[in-house]
Amino acid sequence: MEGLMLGMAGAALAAALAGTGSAIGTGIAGQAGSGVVAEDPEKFGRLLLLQALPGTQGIYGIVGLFLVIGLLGDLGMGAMTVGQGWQVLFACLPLAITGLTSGIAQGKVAGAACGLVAKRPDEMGKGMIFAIVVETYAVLGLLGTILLLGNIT
Amino acid sequence: MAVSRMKRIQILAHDSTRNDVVAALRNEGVLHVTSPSIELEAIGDGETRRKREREIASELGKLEYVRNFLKPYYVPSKKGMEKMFNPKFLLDEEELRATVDSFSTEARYQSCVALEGRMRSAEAEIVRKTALATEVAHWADAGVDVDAMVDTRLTRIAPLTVEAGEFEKFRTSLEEAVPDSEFLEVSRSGATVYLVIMYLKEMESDVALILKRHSARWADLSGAAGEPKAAAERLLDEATGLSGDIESMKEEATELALDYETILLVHDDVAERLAKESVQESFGSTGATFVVEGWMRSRDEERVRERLDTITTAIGGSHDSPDASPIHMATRDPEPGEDVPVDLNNSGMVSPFEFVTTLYSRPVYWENDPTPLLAPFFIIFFGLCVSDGGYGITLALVALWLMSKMPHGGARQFMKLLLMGGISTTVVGLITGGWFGIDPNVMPAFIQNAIVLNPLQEPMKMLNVVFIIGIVQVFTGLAIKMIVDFKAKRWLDAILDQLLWIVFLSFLVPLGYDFILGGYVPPGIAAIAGRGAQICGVLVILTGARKNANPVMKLLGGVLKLYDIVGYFGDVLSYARLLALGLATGAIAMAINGIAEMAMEIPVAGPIGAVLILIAGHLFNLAVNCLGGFVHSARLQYLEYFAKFFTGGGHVFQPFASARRYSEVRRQES
Repeated sequence: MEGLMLGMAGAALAAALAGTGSAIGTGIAGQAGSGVVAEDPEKFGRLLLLQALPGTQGIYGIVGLFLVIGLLGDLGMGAMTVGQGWQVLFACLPLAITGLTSGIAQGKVAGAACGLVAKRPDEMGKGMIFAIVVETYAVLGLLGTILLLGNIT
Repeated sequence: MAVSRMKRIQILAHDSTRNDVVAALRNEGVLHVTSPSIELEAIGDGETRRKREREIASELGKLEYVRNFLKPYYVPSKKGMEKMFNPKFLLDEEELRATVDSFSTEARYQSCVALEGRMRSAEAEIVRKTALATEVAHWADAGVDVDAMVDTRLTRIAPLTVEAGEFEKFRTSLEEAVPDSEFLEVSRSGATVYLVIMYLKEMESDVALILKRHSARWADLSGAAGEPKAAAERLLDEATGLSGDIESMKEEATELALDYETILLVHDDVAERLAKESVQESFGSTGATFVVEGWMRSRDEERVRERLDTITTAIGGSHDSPDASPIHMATRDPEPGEDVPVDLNNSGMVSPFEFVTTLYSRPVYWENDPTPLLAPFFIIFFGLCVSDGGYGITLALVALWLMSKMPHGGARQFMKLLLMGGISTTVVGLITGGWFGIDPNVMPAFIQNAIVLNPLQEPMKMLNVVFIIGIVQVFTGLAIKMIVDFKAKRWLDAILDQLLWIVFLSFLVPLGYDFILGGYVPPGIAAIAGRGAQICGVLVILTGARKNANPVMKLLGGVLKLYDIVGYFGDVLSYARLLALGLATGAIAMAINGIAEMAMEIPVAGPIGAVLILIAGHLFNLAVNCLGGFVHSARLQYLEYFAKFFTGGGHVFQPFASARRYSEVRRQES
């Protein structure tokens, strides 16, 4: 059972930390967005899009969680050895840590992009691109986790 | 490739044709007006014109006021879908003229101002009367009429309020300082005591001092009369009456808003007139002539010429002899390096992708438009990111439906992009077996047979596929730059910076596959690749920093140039996002199905809940993945692809053209 516990801990970390990153990130962007909407309510749609950008880390976290659950299903519940459990736990770390940090960082960039939209609404695309560059590392973290989970022995 | 060819145009004409020329240019809408390159010595300033411009601007201001005032009372004739997709009113020139001429802005403005004034004062009156009624009611038990609380020859009799906390001190001070005074405590409400005070007028200054010390205030009951209770009721009745008046004023406003749509049309018309005046700020003029300069697309040249000729003919001139023509038009090609506005012109399939290009930057005029070069990559990437046949079909159908509602415009182009994205997604879904996250093993045989590669089962294989796609795009970018350099006769750059690297990287690919991904490469190929890479590496070291003047730096810079390998490696790695986003779609879809399955077990409400979860969940997943698919596909174009060959920074071609907000005038075929 210890193996299962460790595996679960990994899945929980992935979902919880990446979700926290998204929560903080969307929070930062949302605050900036509200400030802009106070001046110009018509920009709401675009700002909502910007606020949603740091939300993907949380989704990636859930993806990681489901991948681990799938793995547990493949191995048979409780059949996971302690060694395998540690492997799963470590495999989840790239997603968990990059999700947390990139979510926060991306939130800051998206928040700044809200200011960009306030002054130059036509340049919103560029603001999005800045935010997406940060997300690269969450995507790579997810990828790392997927690849590591695929190599559990 | 697809940057429209431009021409510099100069129109020099007699002032009598000014309005006709401006109207013609506005209607054709093909001229990007700039300031003239020649200095004309202005005879007579533009003051008359500026005055006219100010008048029109003031009329526009009045119309905007009328529009904003009447908007809440307007009942739109277009409803729901039609209003959303087709908000403009379509009419032809004569209809428009007739409508506009029969409308008097000034009259409507005056009636709106008057009506709003009456409404505001009635509202203020209601507030005043209600407040007074509340105040008067506090003296209901005074036993005297409100208007009886007035001074006599020698005494002052007046209503007064004191704070309850100060009341005792107030009473003692008053009794001590002004014994010949009397007051009647009428009522208490909250922290306030309401009373009536009487004293000899000669004591005025003493009383005033006490009132001030104990923060007592005179109550102003002017406007009320008779017995206090009745007075309060009467005031409230009057307020109710005024509310009724406001209702009928609102009806008047509704009446005024009946032709609200006409107001919108007139607004458009006046805005057009204003634009036609304002643009003349960029004209050069002498007393009798004026000059307009700007850019237009080469293909529009004949149209403009013909249009101007019709003006010439209409006033009896002839365009055959320059002496008899009041309008002279000259064009020339742009000079190299000149700052020319950029208009993108692509075929129907490619034009929706202009949106992706311009999101980054427009090409400068002298550069190729990268839109056709990114279109195929972008659409494949989008499909890989969303990667579900069910989502693809849904997206394509939604886009088609919205397109059928939108006759034209930028939104329609975007829908076209989504339609293509939907088709691409469907194809990817078909070959990867993604259908709403359903396990392929329970799907019909023909769907199972269509699966080429299931990324959920073989992520490593899929990773190799997206890396290959990435390598193809990076190489394409380098090849494009090479062609550009060749065309510009920068032979050495083309060969040493691009061709050499393409060869070098080609050798590195099998080595990377072997060492980094741990794939199998036949020893023969590995040996050739290794030797090739060594030779290319040496060549890069020798030539990489050839432009550096310092001989030591020439070699050192070459070694540093070798470091670019890491950059290319990072570029290719970046394409891994295509796999990750694709997997994410499938994993979330499966999770939604799993949750719906759990919901099924709830008695009675289960099936309904499950259906709701499925619909809402998959729509959410579709939306999130479309957003992600779009931005990540775009990012790969900008950072991994454009960086190889595209600089951009061109400014947009903005022709002087009709910009009606509410209406659309049918073009008349003459």
